[in-house]
Amino acid sequence: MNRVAMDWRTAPLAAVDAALCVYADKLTRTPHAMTAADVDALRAAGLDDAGVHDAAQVIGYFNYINRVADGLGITNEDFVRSWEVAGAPMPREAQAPAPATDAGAD
Amino acid sequence: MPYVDVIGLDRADGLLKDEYDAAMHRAGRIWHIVSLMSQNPRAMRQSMRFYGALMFGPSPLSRSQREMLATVVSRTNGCVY
Repeated sequence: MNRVAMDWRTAPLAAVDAALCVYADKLTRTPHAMTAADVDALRAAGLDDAGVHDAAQVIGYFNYINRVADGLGITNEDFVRSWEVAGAPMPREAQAPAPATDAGAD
Repeated sequence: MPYVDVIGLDRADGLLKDEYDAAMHRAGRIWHIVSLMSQNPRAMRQSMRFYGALMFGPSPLSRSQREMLATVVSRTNGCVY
């Protein structure tokens, strides 16, 4: 899980888990760009409708709770060592607002 | 410090106190993400119930897969917590 936290793209994952990460990343960054093909990829990896549904809900939930946490200025628990301290640079896109670009850059 | 007032256990009563008691029962501590919602105990209750249903209820996704999704999302959003 630590490898996933550092960079899921290079972590050794089972095919279904890699497909879930791709879906989660896209749904988080560009929810407007989701298509049936994104779900087809999850089905191809072995998920059924219930699994796809739950993936979308879990992804949605954490997008919601991340915003509540950051919007209200949450502080880390005393015992936690943050990713930055552990040496993982934060995603560049998360450090500053991305400039407006043409659609299709992704 | 948080950007809003967090009503601590010592000042909590009514519904908020009930939710804090439930949080202690679940986890042995009140996580910051729980107390951060102290301004609206009804929302806190539903949010926590939803979280429980999604992350611990029956699902084709394993606990580990669901935690993996949480990790990827939070990382993508740059949410350190």
